[in-house]
Amino acid sequence: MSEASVSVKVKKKYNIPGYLFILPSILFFVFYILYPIVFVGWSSVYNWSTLKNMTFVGLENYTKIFQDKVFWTTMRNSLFWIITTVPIQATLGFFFAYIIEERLHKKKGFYRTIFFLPVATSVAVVAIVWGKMLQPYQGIITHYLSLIGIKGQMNILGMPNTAIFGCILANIWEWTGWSMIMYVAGMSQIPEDMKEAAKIDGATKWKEIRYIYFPALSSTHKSLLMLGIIGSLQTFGLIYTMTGGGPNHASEMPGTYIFQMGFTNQQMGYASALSMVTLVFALVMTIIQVKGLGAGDFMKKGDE
Amino acid sequence: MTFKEKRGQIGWAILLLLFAFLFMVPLIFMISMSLRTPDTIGLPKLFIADITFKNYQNVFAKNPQLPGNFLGSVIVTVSSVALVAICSSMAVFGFSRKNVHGKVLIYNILLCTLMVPLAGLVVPLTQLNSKLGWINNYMGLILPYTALGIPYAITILQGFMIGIPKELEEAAVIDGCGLMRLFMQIVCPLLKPGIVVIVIWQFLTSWNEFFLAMCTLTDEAKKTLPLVAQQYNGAYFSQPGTLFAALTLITIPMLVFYVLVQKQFVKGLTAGAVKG
Repeated sequence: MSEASVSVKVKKKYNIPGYLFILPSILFFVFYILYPIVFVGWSSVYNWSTLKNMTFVGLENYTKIFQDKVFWTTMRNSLFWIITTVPIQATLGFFFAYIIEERLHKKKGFYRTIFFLPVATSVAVVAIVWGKMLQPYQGIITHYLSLIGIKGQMNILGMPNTAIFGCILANIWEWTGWSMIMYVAGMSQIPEDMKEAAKIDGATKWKEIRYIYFPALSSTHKSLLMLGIIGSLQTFGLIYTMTGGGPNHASEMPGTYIFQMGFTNQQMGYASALSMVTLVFALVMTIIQVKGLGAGDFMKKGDE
Repeated sequence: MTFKEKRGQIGWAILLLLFAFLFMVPLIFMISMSLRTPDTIGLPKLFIADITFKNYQNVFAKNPQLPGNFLGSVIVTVSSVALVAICSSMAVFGFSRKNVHGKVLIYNILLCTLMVPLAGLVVPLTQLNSKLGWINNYMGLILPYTALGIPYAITILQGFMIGIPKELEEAAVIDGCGLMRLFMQIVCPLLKPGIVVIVIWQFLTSWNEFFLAMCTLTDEAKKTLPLVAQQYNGAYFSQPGTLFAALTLITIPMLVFYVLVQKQFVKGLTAGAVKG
């Protein structure tokens, strides 16, 4: 046997210490992600409020869900949430990042911090403060709007048609800073000579953004989209505190409805089925993005 | 700098300052409300002339358990931050080793967690906690927060790991450096800018998490600060001044924390490895 083939044989061996380093992460995944998903799938075919008292009902919970008007409201609100918050947060975040990184020479750190502070604020606090600001008569928003000519004391959070938009506004305020910081990180990766070339060619600022910055940041756009979708599906604190899902379920989202069904109404089986549908919805959205947009570049980074 | 460039600079600066002020309005409003007397509390104005600190005295006088809640938040946050940092840096080191077969698959499976919305896991995680007797126990939050934080931390650190030249590790091994020492003394220091990013990010998310905490902690003395805010919202419905003083007290530590670490955070994020 030649030396070369020996070394090939040695290379095929399993690197046990290598696996041991990955093991803790795998254990966390198995116990706290995989097991809960399996559990929720299993428990969704029972009617139960405690684990000691479960009746098998097959797919009944799922057939109920698809006839449940509130469920469809949560789906509609989730889509609303995604198509409003993701583009607005990304656009604002992009322009803030662009002005801070490329147009300012001083005080960059100051502005980056100001716009990120809402991200560091607890969601419960955000919800309470915005709830107060949106109140009619005592809130400052309608007051200042009336000063610039938009009259009328609207109860934004109290009306079924507008409640969700009040929550969306608060969400945009909270998360725009996150988009900004991601774009700041992305812009630092754009090669300087690319920016220089655009300047020498005499490109206008708009063209520079359109043809240099926008395409170069495509992986940032995609990951913000993905995080935005998952974020909207797990929205809970804002809605729960601002409207409680009301009035009359108008601003209900998957998270608040699961909480209401499972913990308030003690219909754990139904809440499990709702959880399952939410997880599948997230999975489908992810597959659409990975296949359609080629999102999830980071998935390939483990390759060598 | 030409005159035109200078003028452009000032234009951008004014535009940004305007937006920065708009973004600060909710926080200014919160602080402003916390300094008002019952006479001015109902006025729909951002600023008021005379201020009082009585609301803050009220919060402390009526809520002796508040320091305990603060401590609870610190315990939950610091533990999950430490676990995430340790597990994820170990994992990316493991992924960089030779002969770890199937590592790409394991890596991708771990990353699937990024697409799992927490709302879908709250029911089973609460059941798991109650089975383990961890309702009203901080372990019931620390471990799930860690599990949910690891995948994002791995994506950040993986970028830094790829940037570490293989020759450096090989040289260390030739010099007789063991695996543990290689990890602790060579790789971890090189991963530091990335570890700083994940520590800060995990700190923010654990500190502010609300949904699972609400289902797990029901004992008032054990509640973390976001839950306390929610609880005061009901309790101080008729005393908004006291409510907003409490909200300010809950918010300020985190804002100060971020201001202190923001330089490191941005430095780590722009260090060349994070793709977004």
